[in-house]
Amino acid sequence: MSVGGWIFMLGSLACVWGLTGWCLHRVLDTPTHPARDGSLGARQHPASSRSAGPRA
Amino acid sequence: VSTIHDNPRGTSVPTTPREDGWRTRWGVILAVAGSAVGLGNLLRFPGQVVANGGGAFMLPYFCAFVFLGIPIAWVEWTMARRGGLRGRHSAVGILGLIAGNRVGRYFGALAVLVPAAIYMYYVLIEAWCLRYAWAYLSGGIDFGVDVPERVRQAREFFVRVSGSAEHGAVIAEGSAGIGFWLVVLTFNLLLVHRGLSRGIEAFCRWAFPLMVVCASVVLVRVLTLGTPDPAQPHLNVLNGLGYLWNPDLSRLGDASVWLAAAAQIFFSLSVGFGIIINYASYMRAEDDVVLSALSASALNEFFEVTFGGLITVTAAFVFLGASGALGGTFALGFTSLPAVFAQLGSWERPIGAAWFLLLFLAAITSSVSMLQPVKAFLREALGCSARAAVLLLGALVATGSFWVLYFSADLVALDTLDFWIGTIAIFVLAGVEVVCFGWVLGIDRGLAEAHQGAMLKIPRIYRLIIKYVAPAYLAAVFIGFCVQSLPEYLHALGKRPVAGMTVGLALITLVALVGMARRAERRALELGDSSSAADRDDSGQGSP
Repeated sequence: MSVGGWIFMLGSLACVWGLTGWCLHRVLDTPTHPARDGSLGARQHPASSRSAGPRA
Repeated sequence: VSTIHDNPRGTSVPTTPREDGWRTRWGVILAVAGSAVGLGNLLRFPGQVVANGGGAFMLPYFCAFVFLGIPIAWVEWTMARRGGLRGRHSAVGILGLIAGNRVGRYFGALAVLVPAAIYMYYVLIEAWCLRYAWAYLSGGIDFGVDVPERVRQAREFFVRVSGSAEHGAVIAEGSAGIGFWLVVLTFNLLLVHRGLSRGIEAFCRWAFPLMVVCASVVLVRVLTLGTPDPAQPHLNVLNGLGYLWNPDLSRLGDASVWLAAAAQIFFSLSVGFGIIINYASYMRAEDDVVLSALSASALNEFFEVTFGGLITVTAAFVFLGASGALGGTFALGFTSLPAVFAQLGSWERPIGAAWFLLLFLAAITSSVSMLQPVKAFLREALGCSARAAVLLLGALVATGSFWVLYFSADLVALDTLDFWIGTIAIFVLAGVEVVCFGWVLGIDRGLAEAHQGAMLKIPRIYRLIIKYVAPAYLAAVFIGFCVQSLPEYLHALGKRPVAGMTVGLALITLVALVGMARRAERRALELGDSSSAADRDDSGQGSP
Protein backbone atom coordinates (compact mmCIF):
# COMPACT_ATOMS: atom_id res chain seq x y z
CA MET A 1 0.00 0.00 0.00
CA SER A 2 1.31 3.42 -0.91
CA VAL A 3 1.86 6.31 1.53
CA GLY A 4 -1.15 8.01 -0.05
CA GLY A 5 -3.15 4.89 0.63
CA TRP A 6 -2.19 4.87 4.30
CA ILE A 7 -3.06 8.55 4.65
CA PHE A 8 -6.37 8.08 2.84
CA MET A 9 -7.29 5.02 4.90
CA LEU A 10 -6.34 6.41 8.30
CA GLY A 11 -7.89 9.81 7.53
CA SER A 12 -11.12 8.26 6.28
CA LEU A 13 -11.43 5.86 9.19
CA ALA A 14 -10.68 8.67 11.66
CA CYS A 15 -13.39 10.85 10.11
CA VAL A 16 -15.99 8.08 10.01
CA TRP A 17 -15.22 6.81 13.50
CA GLY A 18 -15.03 10.35 14.85
CA LEU A 19 -18.38 11.34 13.38
CA THR A 20 -19.97 8.17 14.70
CA GLY A 21 -18.55 8.69 18.17
CA TRP A 22 -19.61 12.34 18.20
CA CYS A 23 -23.16 11.41 17.16
CA LEU A 24 -23.41 8.70 19.80
CA HIS A 25 -22.10 11.14 22.37
CA ARG A 26 -24.76 13.68 21.37
CA VAL A 27 -27.47 11.03 21.46
CA LEU A 28 -26.44 9.92 24.94
CA ASP A 29 -25.92 13.46 26.14
CA THR A 30 -29.31 14.68 25.04
CA PRO A 31 -31.45 15.56 28.03
CA THR A 32 -34.72 13.78 28.57
CA HIS A 33 -37.92 15.76 28.63
CA PRO A 34 -41.45 14.96 29.70
CA ALA A 35 -43.57 13.14 27.15
CA ARG A 36 -46.53 14.90 25.63
CA ASP A 37 -48.66 12.06 26.89
CA GLY A 38 -48.27 12.20 30.63
CA SER A 39 -49.22 8.58 30.98
CA LEU A 40 -45.86 7.57 29.62
CA GLY A 41 -43.86 9.65 32.03
CA ALA A 42 -40.40 10.91 31.19
CA ARG A 43 -38.90 9.31 28.11
CA GLN A 44 -35.67 9.26 26.20
CA HIS A 45 -35.24 12.19 23.90
CA PRO A 46 -36.48 11.22 20.47
CA ALA A 47 -33.05 11.57 18.98
CA SER A 48 -31.87 8.78 21.17
CA SER A 49 -34.05 6.25 19.56
CA ARG A 50 -35.36 7.65 16.34
CA SER A 51 -32.01 7.11 14.84
CA ALA A 52 -32.87 3.50 14.56
CA GLY A 53 -34.29 3.77 11.10
CA PRO A 54 -34.32 0.87 8.72
CA ARG A 55 -31.23 0.31 6.68
CA ALA A 56 -30.66 -1.88 3.73
CA VAL B 1 -32.10 -3.22 9.93
CA SER B 2 -34.21 -1.79 12.61
CA THR B 3 -35.52 -3.00 15.85
CA ILE B 4 -38.47 -0.69 15.84
CA HIS B 5 -39.56 0.15 12.34
CA ASP B 6 -41.84 -2.73 11.56
CA ASN B 7 -44.94 -1.27 13.01
CA PRO B 8 -46.09 2.11 11.81
CA ARG B 9 -47.44 3.13 15.17
CA GLY B 10 -44.51 1.48 16.80
CA THR B 11 -42.26 3.80 14.89
CA SER B 12 -44.33 6.69 16.06
CA VAL B 13 -43.88 6.17 19.74
CA PRO B 14 -41.18 3.56 20.12
CA THR B 15 -39.04 5.40 22.51
CA THR B 16 -40.25 5.07 26.00
CA PRO B 17 -38.20 2.81 28.17
CA ARG B 18 -41.40 1.20 29.28
CA GLU B 19 -42.48 0.36 25.78
CA ASP B 20 -39.24 -0.90 24.37
CA GLY B 21 -37.36 -1.92 27.40
CA TRP B 22 -34.52 0.51 26.73
CA ARG B 23 -33.68 0.84 30.36
CA THR B 24 -30.10 1.82 29.78
CA ARG B 25 -28.50 4.17 27.34
CA TRP B 26 -26.38 1.31 26.11
CA GLY B 27 -29.66 -0.32 25.15
CA VAL B 28 -30.40 2.71 23.02
CA ILE B 29 -26.99 2.56 21.39
CA LEU B 30 -27.35 -1.12 20.61
CA ALA B 31 -30.75 -0.55 19.05
CA VAL B 32 -29.41 2.34 16.98
CA ALA B 33 -26.35 0.39 15.97
CA GLY B 34 -28.41 -2.67 15.10
CA SER B 35 -30.37 -0.53 12.70
CA ALA B 36 -27.28 0.38 10.75
CA VAL B 37 -26.31 -3.03 9.46
CA GLY B 38 -27.70 -4.78 6.41
CA LEU B 39 -26.70 -6.57 3.25
CA GLY B 40 -26.05 -3.20 1.63
CA ASN B 41 -23.16 -2.62 4.03
CA LEU B 42 -21.60 -6.04 4.22
CA LEU B 43 -22.25 -7.49 0.77
CA ARG B 44 -23.25 -4.79 -1.75
CA PHE B 45 -20.61 -2.23 -0.75
CA PRO B 46 -17.64 -4.59 -1.28
CA GLY B 47 -19.12 -5.69 -4.59
CA GLN B 48 -19.44 -2.10 -5.75
CA VAL B 49 -15.90 -1.28 -4.63
CA VAL B 50 -14.45 -4.13 -6.63
CA ALA B 51 -16.68 -3.57 -9.66
CA ASN B 52 -15.63 0.08 -9.80
CA GLY B 53 -11.89 -0.25 -9.48
CA GLY B 54 -11.15 -0.35 -5.74
CA GLY B 55 -9.40 2.89 -4.79
CA ALA B 56 -11.07 4.68 -7.70
CA PHE B 57 -14.41 4.20 -5.99
CA MET B 58 -13.59 5.51 -2.52
CA LEU B 59 -13.14 9.20 -3.28
CA PRO B 60 -16.48 9.55 -5.12
CA TYR B 61 -17.98 7.45 -2.35
CA PHE B 62 -16.97 9.82 0.45
CA CYS B 63 -17.93 12.86 -1.66
CA ALA B 64 -21.36 11.30 -2.14
CA PHE B 65 -21.69 10.73 1.58
CA VAL B 66 -20.90 14.34 2.50
CA PHE B 67 -22.64 16.17 -0.35
CA LEU B 68 -25.55 13.81 -1.05
CA GLY B 69 -26.06 11.19 1.63
CA ILE B 70 -26.18 13.38 4.72
CA PRO B 71 -28.19 16.28 3.22
CA ILE B 72 -30.69 14.08 1.45
CA ALA B 73 -31.12 12.00 4.59
CA TRP B 74 -32.08 15.24 6.39
CA VAL B 75 -34.38 16.12 3.48
CA GLU B 76 -36.12 12.78 3.47
CA TRP B 77 -36.60 12.54 7.23
CA THR B 78 -37.93 16.11 7.32
CA MET B 79 -40.32 15.72 4.40
CA ALA B 80 -41.57 12.44 5.80
CA ARG B 81 -42.35 13.97 9.17
CA ARG B 82 -44.04 16.94 7.51
CA GLY B 83 -46.22 14.56 5.52
CA GLY B 84 -46.91 12.38 8.52
CA LEU B 85 -48.06 15.32 10.62
CA ARG B 86 -50.59 16.02 7.85
CA GLY B 87 -51.85 12.47 7.69
CA ARG B 88 -49.72 11.13 4.84
CA HIS B 89 -47.62 8.06 5.44
CA SER B 90 -46.89 6.72 1.96
CA ALA B 91 -44.33 8.18 -0.42
CA VAL B 92 -47.13 8.84 -2.90
CA GLY B 93 -49.05 10.94 -0.41
CA ILE B 94 -46.01 12.73 1.00
CA LEU B 95 -44.43 13.69 -2.33
CA GLY B 96 -47.87 14.70 -3.60
CA LEU B 97 -48.28 16.92 -0.55
CA ILE B 98 -44.85 18.52 -0.84
CA ALA B 99 -45.07 19.02 -4.62
CA GLY B 100 -48.66 20.17 -4.39
CA ASN B 101 -49.63 18.38 -7.58
CA ARG B 102 -50.17 14.94 -9.06
CA VAL B 103 -46.71 14.81 -10.62
CA GLY B 104 -45.32 14.46 -7.12
CA ARG B 105 -47.68 11.57 -6.49
CA TYR B 106 -46.52 9.83 -9.65
CA PHE B 107 -42.90 10.14 -8.60
CA GLY B 108 -44.08 8.73 -5.29
CA ALA B 109 -45.10 5.60 -7.21
CA LEU B 110 -41.41 5.18 -8.00
CA ALA B 111 -40.80 5.11 -4.25
CA VAL B 112 -43.15 2.14 -4.04
CA LEU B 113 -41.54 0.33 -6.96
CA VAL B 114 -38.02 0.68 -5.53
CA PRO B 115 -38.50 -1.26 -2.27
CA ALA B 116 -40.78 -3.82 -3.96
CA ALA B 117 -38.32 -4.52 -6.78
CA ILE B 118 -35.27 -4.55 -4.53
CA TYR B 119 -37.07 -6.91 -2.18
CA MET B 120 -37.48 -9.36 -5.07
CA TYR B 121 -33.75 -10.05 -5.16
CA TYR B 122 -32.92 -9.09 -1.58
CA VAL B 123 -35.01 -11.99 -0.28
CA LEU B 124 -33.04 -14.34 -2.49
CA ILE B 125 -29.76 -13.20 -0.94
CA GLU B 126 -31.32 -13.68 2.47
CA ALA B 127 -32.05 -17.25 1.49
CA TRP B 128 -28.42 -17.70 0.46
CA CYS B 129 -27.32 -16.45 3.90
CA LEU B 130 -29.62 -18.91 5.61
CA ARG B 131 -28.41 -21.75 3.43
CA TYR B 132 -24.76 -20.92 4.13
CA ALA B 133 -25.49 -20.79 7.87
CA TRP B 134 -27.21 -24.16 7.65
CA ALA B 135 -24.34 -25.61 5.63
CA TYR B 136 -21.84 -24.49 8.26
CA LEU B 137 -23.99 -25.86 11.08
CA SER B 138 -24.62 -29.20 9.40
CA GLY B 139 -21.09 -29.70 8.15
CA GLY B 140 -22.05 -29.20 4.52
CA ILE B 141 -19.08 -26.89 3.97
CA ASP B 142 -15.63 -28.41 4.03
CA PHE B 143 -13.37 -26.69 1.57
CA GLY B 144 -10.13 -28.46 2.43
CA VAL B 145 -6.79 -26.99 3.46
CA ASP B 146 -5.09 -26.09 0.20
CA VAL B 147 -5.76 -22.40 -0.55
CA PRO B 148 -6.40 -22.63 -4.32
CA GLU B 149 -8.59 -25.69 -3.81
CA ARG B 150 -10.45 -23.92 -1.02
CA VAL B 151 -11.15 -20.92 -3.23
CA ARG B 152 -12.27 -23.15 -6.09
CA GLN B 153 -14.66 -25.09 -3.87
CA ALA B 154 -16.02 -21.90 -2.30
CA ARG B 155 -16.84 -20.63 -5.78
CA GLU B 156 -18.41 -23.92 -6.81
CA PHE B 157 -20.55 -23.90 -3.70
CA PHE B 158 -21.75 -20.38 -4.45
CA VAL B 159 -22.53 -21.30 -8.05
CA ARG B 160 -24.65 -24.19 -6.76
CA VAL B 161 -26.45 -22.08 -4.14
CA SER B 162 -27.13 -19.15 -6.45
CA GLY B 163 -27.76 -21.23 -9.58
CA SER B 164 -25.53 -18.91 -11.55
CA ALA B 165 -24.42 -21.69 -13.91
CA GLU B 166 -27.64 -21.69 -15.93
CA HIS B 167 -31.24 -20.54 -15.83
CA GLY B 168 -33.47 -22.73 -13.66
CA ALA B 169 -30.51 -24.36 -11.90
CA VAL B 170 -31.89 -23.64 -8.43
CA ILE B 171 -35.21 -25.24 -9.28
CA ALA B 172 -33.51 -28.20 -10.93
CA GLU B 173 -31.59 -28.76 -7.70
CA GLY B 174 -34.88 -29.62 -6.01
CA SER B 175 -36.08 -28.95 -2.52
CA ALA B 176 -32.68 -27.88 -1.17
CA GLY B 177 -32.48 -25.07 -3.71
CA ILE B 178 -35.98 -23.70 -3.61
CA GLY B 179 -36.79 -24.65 0.00
CA PHE B 180 -34.71 -21.93 1.65
CA TRP B 181 -36.21 -19.31 -0.67
CA LEU B 182 -39.76 -20.43 0.13
CA VAL B 183 -39.12 -20.50 3.86
CA VAL B 184 -37.58 -17.02 3.88
CA LEU B 185 -40.27 -15.54 1.62
CA THR B 186 -43.06 -16.98 3.74
CA PHE B 187 -41.40 -15.88 6.96
CA ASN B 188 -41.08 -12.33 5.64
CA LEU B 189 -44.75 -12.15 4.70
CA LEU B 190 -45.80 -13.56 8.05
CA LEU B 191 -43.72 -10.91 9.81
CA VAL B 192 -45.26 -8.17 7.68
CA HIS B 193 -48.72 -9.46 8.42
CA ARG B 194 -48.25 -9.82 12.14
CA GLY B 195 -45.62 -7.16 12.73
CA LEU B 196 -42.20 -8.06 13.99
CA SER B 197 -42.58 -9.72 17.32
CA ARG B 198 -40.95 -8.21 20.34
CA GLY B 199 -39.03 -11.44 20.67
CA ILE B 200 -37.24 -10.85 17.40
CA GLU B 201 -36.60 -7.25 18.33
CA ALA B 202 -35.09 -8.35 21.61
CA PHE B 203 -33.12 -11.03 19.80
CA CYS B 204 -31.68 -8.46 17.41
CA ARG B 205 -30.62 -6.39 20.37
CA TRP B 206 -28.35 -9.11 21.72
CA ALA B 207 -27.57 -10.55 18.31
CA PHE B 208 -26.04 -7.26 17.23
CA PRO B 209 -23.22 -7.24 19.79
CA LEU B 210 -22.60 -10.85 18.83
CA MET B 211 -22.29 -9.78 15.22
CA VAL B 212 -19.85 -7.02 16.14
CA VAL B 213 -17.75 -9.55 18.06
CA CYS B 214 -17.97 -12.00 15.19
CA ALA B 215 -17.09 -9.33 12.62
CA SER B 216 -14.19 -8.14 14.78
CA VAL B 217 -12.79 -11.67 15.00
CA VAL B 218 -13.06 -12.03 11.24
CA LEU B 219 -11.52 -8.59 10.72
CA VAL B 220 -8.54 -9.44 12.90
CA ARG B 221 -8.11 -12.75 11.07
CA VAL B 222 -8.29 -11.02 7.68
CA LEU B 223 -5.74 -8.40 8.70
CA THR B 224 -3.38 -11.11 9.92
CA LEU B 225 -3.69 -13.36 6.87
CA GLY B 226 -0.32 -12.28 5.53
CA THR B 227 0.27 -14.18 2.29
CA PRO B 228 -1.94 -17.27 2.46
CA ASP B 229 -0.82 -18.69 -0.87
CA PRO B 230 3.00 -18.59 -1.12
CA ALA B 231 2.74 -19.38 -4.83
CA GLN B 232 1.13 -15.96 -5.34
CA PRO B 233 3.09 -13.59 -3.07
CA HIS B 234 1.47 -10.46 -4.54
CA LEU B 235 -1.89 -11.57 -3.13
CA ASN B 236 -1.26 -10.38 0.41
CA VAL B 237 -3.08 -8.26 2.98
CA LEU B 238 -1.14 -5.06 2.40
CA ASN B 239 -1.82 -5.18 -1.30
CA GLY B 240 -5.46 -5.94 -0.50
CA LEU B 241 -5.68 -2.83 1.66
CA GLY B 242 -3.87 -0.92 -1.05
CA TYR B 243 -6.40 -2.08 -3.61
CA LEU B 244 -9.13 -0.51 -1.48
CA TRP B 245 -7.36 2.61 -0.28
CA ASN B 246 -4.66 3.63 -2.76
CA PRO B 247 -6.21 6.71 -4.38
CA ASP B 248 -6.75 6.04 -8.07
CA LEU B 249 -7.49 9.28 -9.84
CA SER B 250 -7.50 7.76 -13.31
CA ARG B 251 -11.21 6.91 -13.22
CA LEU B 252 -12.49 10.12 -11.67
CA GLY B 253 -13.70 11.18 -15.11
CA ASP B 254 -15.90 8.09 -15.38
CA ALA B 255 -19.46 9.15 -14.51
CA SER B 256 -20.55 5.56 -13.93
CA VAL B 257 -18.18 5.34 -10.93
CA TRP B 258 -19.69 8.50 -9.43
CA LEU B 259 -23.17 7.15 -10.15
CA ALA B 260 -22.36 3.83 -8.48
CA ALA B 261 -20.84 5.60 -5.46
CA ALA B 262 -23.85 7.86 -4.97
CA ALA B 263 -26.27 4.98 -5.45
CA GLN B 264 -24.36 2.87 -2.90
CA ILE B 265 -24.69 5.67 -0.35
CA PHE B 266 -28.40 5.97 -1.09
CA PHE B 267 -28.87 2.19 -0.98
CA SER B 268 -27.22 1.64 2.37
CA LEU B 269 -28.71 4.76 3.98
CA SER B 270 -32.11 3.79 2.51
CA VAL B 271 -32.32 7.30 1.08
CA GLY B 272 -34.43 7.52 -2.09
CA PHE B 273 -35.51 4.03 -1.22
CA GLY B 274 -39.11 4.63 -0.17
CA ILE B 275 -38.50 3.21 3.31
CA ILE B 276 -37.37 6.15 5.43
CA ILE B 277 -40.08 8.32 3.93
CA ASN B 278 -42.64 5.89 5.32
CA TYR B 279 -40.82 5.21 8.56
CA ALA B 280 -40.08 8.81 9.52
CA SER B 281 -43.62 9.91 8.71
CA TYR B 282 -44.62 8.59 12.12
CA MET B 283 -42.29 10.93 14.00
CA ARG B 284 -43.71 13.69 16.13
CA ALA B 285 -43.29 17.43 15.80
CA GLU B 286 -40.91 17.61 18.75
CA ASP B 287 -38.65 14.80 17.53
CA ASP B 288 -35.11 15.60 16.46
CA VAL B 289 -34.88 14.56 12.82
CA VAL B 290 -31.52 16.27 12.34
CA LEU B 291 -29.60 14.28 14.94
CA SER B 292 -31.52 11.11 14.15
CA ALA B 293 -30.70 11.20 10.45
CA LEU B 294 -27.07 12.12 11.08
CA SER B 295 -26.54 9.43 13.73
CA ALA B 296 -28.08 6.76 11.55
CA SER B 297 -25.96 7.86 8.59
CA ALA B 298 -22.75 7.93 10.62
CA LEU B 299 -23.32 4.49 12.13
CA ASN B 300 -24.11 3.14 8.72
CA GLU B 301 -20.79 4.44 7.42
CA PHE B 302 -18.96 3.01 10.39
CA PHE B 303 -20.12 -0.52 9.62
CA GLU B 304 -19.92 -0.20 5.88
CA VAL B 305 -16.35 1.05 5.74
CA THR B 306 -14.96 -0.81 8.75
CA PHE B 307 -16.49 -4.22 8.29
CA GLY B 308 -17.87 -4.26 4.74
CA GLY B 309 -14.75 -2.69 3.29
CA LEU B 310 -11.85 -3.88 5.39
CA ILE B 311 -13.05 -7.47 5.71
CA THR B 312 -14.62 -8.46 2.42
CA VAL B 313 -12.64 -6.37 -0.04
CA THR B 314 -9.31 -7.29 1.53
CA ALA B 315 -10.23 -10.98 1.74
CA ALA B 316 -11.49 -10.97 -1.82
CA PHE B 317 -8.24 -9.49 -3.08
CA VAL B 318 -6.10 -11.89 -1.04
CA PHE B 319 -7.92 -15.02 -2.15
CA LEU B 320 -9.33 -14.12 -5.54
CA GLY B 321 -7.17 -11.30 -6.84
CA ALA B 322 -8.45 -8.02 -8.26
CA SER B 323 -9.81 -9.50 -11.46
CA GLY B 324 -10.97 -12.79 -9.97
CA ALA B 325 -13.15 -11.00 -7.44
CA LEU B 326 -15.55 -9.80 -10.13
CA GLY B 327 -18.75 -11.69 -10.81
CA GLY B 328 -21.86 -10.12 -9.35
CA THR B 329 -22.41 -7.31 -6.88
CA PHE B 330 -23.48 -9.49 -3.99
CA ALA B 331 -21.36 -12.55 -4.75
CA LEU B 332 -18.11 -11.35 -3.23
CA GLY B 333 -18.96 -12.03 0.40
CA PHE B 334 -20.08 -15.54 -0.44
CA THR B 335 -17.03 -16.50 -2.46
CA SER B 336 -14.26 -14.89 -0.43
CA LEU B 337 -15.30 -15.12 3.22
CA PRO B 338 -15.61 -18.92 3.38
CA ALA B 339 -11.93 -19.00 2.40
CA VAL B 340 -11.21 -16.71 5.37
CA PHE B 341 -13.28 -18.80 7.75
CA ALA B 342 -11.34 -21.88 6.65
CA GLN B 343 -8.24 -20.17 8.05
CA LEU B 344 -9.80 -20.17 11.52
CA GLY B 345 -9.13 -23.86 12.16
CA SER B 346 -11.61 -25.39 14.56
CA TRP B 347 -13.46 -22.07 14.74
CA GLU B 348 -14.38 -22.28 11.06
CA ARG B 349 -17.82 -23.80 11.52
CA PRO B 350 -19.06 -21.76 14.51
CA ILE B 351 -17.78 -18.47 13.11
CA GLY B 352 -19.05 -19.25 9.61
CA ALA B 353 -22.45 -20.27 10.91
CA ALA B 354 -22.70 -17.26 13.22
CA TRP B 355 -21.62 -14.83 10.49
CA PHE B 356 -24.19 -15.98 7.95
CA LEU B 357 -26.95 -16.45 10.51
CA LEU B 358 -26.45 -12.94 11.86
CA LEU B 359 -26.27 -11.60 8.31
CA PHE B 360 -29.57 -13.32 7.68
CA LEU B 361 -31.09 -11.70 10.76
CA ALA B 362 -29.74 -8.30 9.77
CA ALA B 363 -31.24 -8.80 6.33
CA ILE B 364 -34.63 -10.04 7.39
CA THR B 365 -35.52 -6.94 9.37
CA SER B 366 -34.43 -4.83 6.39
CA SER B 367 -36.50 -6.84 3.96
CA VAL B 368 -39.56 -6.59 6.16
CA SER B 369 -39.06 -2.83 6.20
CA MET B 370 -39.09 -2.89 2.39
CA LEU B 371 -42.49 -4.54 2.37
CA GLN B 372 -44.11 -2.17 4.85
CA PRO B 373 -44.31 0.90 2.57
CA VAL B 374 -45.68 -1.21 -0.27
CA LYS B 375 -48.28 -2.68 2.01
CA ALA B 376 -49.23 0.79 3.28
CA PHE B 377 -49.54 2.01 -0.30
CA LEU B 378 -51.72 -0.93 -1.37
CA ARG B 379 -54.06 -0.26 1.52
CA GLU B 380 -54.11 3.42 0.73
CA ALA B 381 -54.76 2.87 -2.98
CA LEU B 382 -57.19 -0.02 -2.79
CA GLY B 383 -58.76 0.60 0.59
CA CYS B 384 -58.40 -3.09 1.35
CA SER B 385 -57.84 -4.89 4.62
CA ALA B 386 -54.39 -5.61 5.99
CA ARG B 387 -54.81 -9.31 5.18
CA ALA B 388 -55.83 -8.60 1.58
CA ALA B 389 -52.93 -6.17 1.18
CA VAL B 390 -50.46 -8.78 2.42
CA LEU B 391 -51.91 -11.41 0.08
CA LEU B 392 -51.65 -9.06 -2.88
CA LEU B 393 -48.18 -8.01 -1.81
CA GLY B 394 -47.18 -11.65 -1.42
CA ALA B 395 -48.38 -12.49 -4.92
CA LEU B 396 -46.51 -9.52 -6.38
CA VAL B 397 -43.17 -10.08 -4.69
CA ALA B 398 -43.29 -13.88 -4.96
CA THR B 399 -43.81 -13.61 -8.71
CA GLY B 400 -41.00 -11.10 -9.10
CA SER B 401 -38.68 -12.99 -6.81
CA PHE B 402 -39.36 -16.27 -8.65
CA TRP B 403 -38.37 -14.48 -11.85
CA VAL B 404 -35.03 -13.55 -10.27
CA LEU B 405 -34.64 -17.06 -8.85
CA TYR B 406 -35.32 -18.74 -12.19
CA PHE B 407 -33.26 -16.47 -14.44
CA SER B 408 -30.15 -17.05 -12.41
CA ALA B 409 -27.49 -17.62 -15.09
CA ASP B 410 -24.69 -15.16 -14.31
CA LEU B 411 -27.20 -13.65 -11.85
CA VAL B 412 -28.53 -11.67 -14.80
CA ALA B 413 -31.98 -10.85 -13.43
CA LEU B 414 -30.57 -9.97 -10.00
CA ASP B 415 -27.85 -7.70 -11.32
CA THR B 416 -30.23 -6.08 -13.81
CA LEU B 417 -32.69 -5.16 -11.06
CA ASP B 418 -29.86 -4.04 -8.81
CA PHE B 419 -28.59 -1.68 -11.48
CA TRP B 420 -31.79 -0.27 -12.96
CA ILE B 421 -33.74 -0.11 -9.70
CA GLY B 422 -31.09 -0.33 -6.95
CA THR B 423 -28.93 2.26 -8.69
CA ILE B 424 -30.75 4.33 -11.35
CA ALA B 425 -34.23 4.52 -9.81
CA ILE B 426 -32.86 5.31 -6.34
CA PHE B 427 -30.66 8.00 -7.84
CA VAL B 428 -33.61 9.60 -9.67
CA LEU B 429 -35.84 9.43 -6.63
CA ALA B 430 -33.22 11.04 -4.40
CA GLY B 431 -32.92 13.82 -6.99
CA VAL B 432 -36.66 14.39 -7.02
CA GLU B 433 -36.69 14.60 -3.24
CA VAL B 434 -33.90 17.12 -2.92
CA VAL B 435 -35.44 19.34 -5.64
CA CYS B 436 -38.85 19.10 -3.96
CA PHE B 437 -37.29 20.16 -0.66
CA GLY B 438 -34.99 22.91 -1.87
CA TRP B 439 -37.09 24.43 -4.62
CA VAL B 440 -40.74 23.42 -4.22
CA LEU B 441 -41.15 23.41 -0.47
CA GLY B 442 -38.48 26.08 -0.25
CA ILE B 443 -35.13 25.85 1.50
CA ASP B 444 -36.13 28.25 4.30
CA ARG B 445 -39.39 26.50 5.09
CA GLY B 446 -37.70 23.14 4.74
CA LEU B 447 -34.88 23.93 7.15
CA ALA B 448 -37.29 25.54 9.60
CA GLU B 449 -39.29 22.32 9.47
CA ALA B 450 -36.13 20.26 10.04
CA HIS B 451 -35.13 22.37 13.02
CA GLN B 452 -38.47 21.92 14.69
CA GLY B 453 -37.69 19.91 17.82
CA ALA B 454 -34.01 19.63 16.89
CA MET B 455 -31.25 20.12 19.42
CA LEU B 456 -28.71 19.98 16.62
CA LYS B 457 -28.82 22.63 13.90
CA ILE B 458 -27.94 21.89 10.31
CA PRO B 459 -24.73 23.81 9.43
CA ARG B 460 -25.42 26.84 7.23
CA ILE B 461 -23.24 25.49 4.45
CA TYR B 462 -25.82 22.77 3.92
CA ARG B 463 -28.35 25.41 2.92
CA LEU B 464 -26.27 25.93 -0.21
CA ILE B 465 -25.54 22.24 -0.57
CA ILE B 466 -29.18 21.20 -0.43
CA LYS B 467 -30.43 23.93 -2.74
CA TYR B 468 -27.64 24.09 -5.31
CA VAL B 469 -24.80 21.63 -4.86
CA ALA B 470 -26.72 18.38 -4.44
CA PRO B 471 -29.10 18.91 -7.40
CA ALA B 472 -26.23 20.07 -9.60
CA TYR B 473 -24.07 17.13 -8.44
CA LEU B 474 -26.85 14.65 -9.22
CA ALA B 475 -27.61 16.27 -12.56
CA ALA B 476 -23.95 16.34 -13.61
CA VAL B 477 -23.39 12.70 -12.70
CA PHE B 478 -26.60 11.60 -14.40
CA ILE B 479 -25.93 13.56 -17.57
CA GLY B 480 -22.35 12.29 -17.61
CA PHE B 481 -23.59 8.73 -17.24
CA CYS B 482 -26.17 9.17 -20.00
CA VAL B 483 -23.52 10.51 -22.37
CA GLN B 484 -20.71 8.09 -21.48
CA SER B 485 -22.33 4.82 -20.56
CA LEU B 486 -26.08 4.72 -21.16
CA PRO B 487 -25.84 3.61 -24.80
CA GLU B 488 -23.62 0.74 -23.71
CA TYR B 489 -26.07 -0.33 -21.01
CA LEU B 490 -29.01 -0.10 -23.41
CA HIS B 491 -27.08 -2.13 -25.97
CA ALA B 492 -26.42 -4.76 -23.29
CA LEU B 493 -30.14 -4.88 -22.55
CA GLY B 494 -30.83 -5.54 -26.20
CA LYS B 495 -28.25 -8.31 -26.33
CA ARG B 496 -29.48 -10.06 -23.19
CA PRO B 497 -33.18 -10.84 -23.57
CA VAL B 498 -33.64 -11.72 -19.89
CA ALA B 499 -32.17 -8.39 -18.82
CA GLY B 500 -34.41 -6.54 -21.28
CA MET B 501 -37.50 -8.42 -20.11
CA THR B 502 -36.60 -7.76 -16.47
CA VAL B 503 -36.47 -4.01 -17.10
CA GLY B 504 -39.68 -4.27 -19.12
CA LEU B 505 -41.48 -5.98 -16.26
CA ALA B 506 -40.23 -3.32 -13.84
CA LEU B 507 -41.60 -0.61 -16.15
CA ILE B 508 -44.97 -2.37 -16.42
CA THR B 509 -45.10 -2.57 -12.63
CA LEU B 510 -44.30 1.13 -12.41
CA VAL B 511 -47.12 1.98 -14.81
CA ALA B 512 -49.51 -0.12 -12.70
CA LEU B 513 -48.32 1.67 -9.56
CA VAL B 514 -48.87 5.07 -11.18
CA GLY B 515 -52.40 3.95 -12.01
CA MET B 516 -52.87 2.95 -8.40
CA ALA B 517 -51.46 6.30 -7.29
CA ARG B 518 -54.22 7.98 -9.31
CA ARG B 519 -56.72 5.76 -7.57
CA ALA B 520 -55.22 6.62 -4.20
CA GLU B 521 -55.54 10.29 -5.09
CA ARG B 522 -59.23 9.88 -5.87
CA ARG B 523 -59.78 7.99 -2.64
CA ALA B 524 -58.01 10.70 -0.67
CA LEU B 525 -60.25 13.32 -2.27
CA GLU B 526 -63.34 11.27 -1.49
CA LEU B 527 -62.20 11.05 2.10
CA GLY B 528 -61.84 14.80 2.32
CA ASP B 529 -58.16 14.91 1.44
CA SER B 530 -57.09 14.30 4.96
CA SER B 531 -55.91 10.90 5.94
CA SER B 532 -56.64 7.70 4.13
CA ALA B 533 -58.46 4.90 5.82
CA ALA B 534 -55.37 2.76 5.63
CA ASP B 535 -53.34 5.41 7.40
CA ARG B 536 -55.87 5.68 10.16
CA ASP B 537 -56.10 1.93 10.54
CA ASP B 538 -52.36 1.46 10.57
CA SER B 539 -51.78 4.19 13.08
CA GLY B 540 -54.23 2.75 15.52
CA GLN B 541 -52.97 -0.79 15.72
CA GLY B 542 -50.08 -2.41 17.39
CA SER B 543 -49.90 -5.13 14.77
CA PRO B 544 -51.42 -4.02 11.47
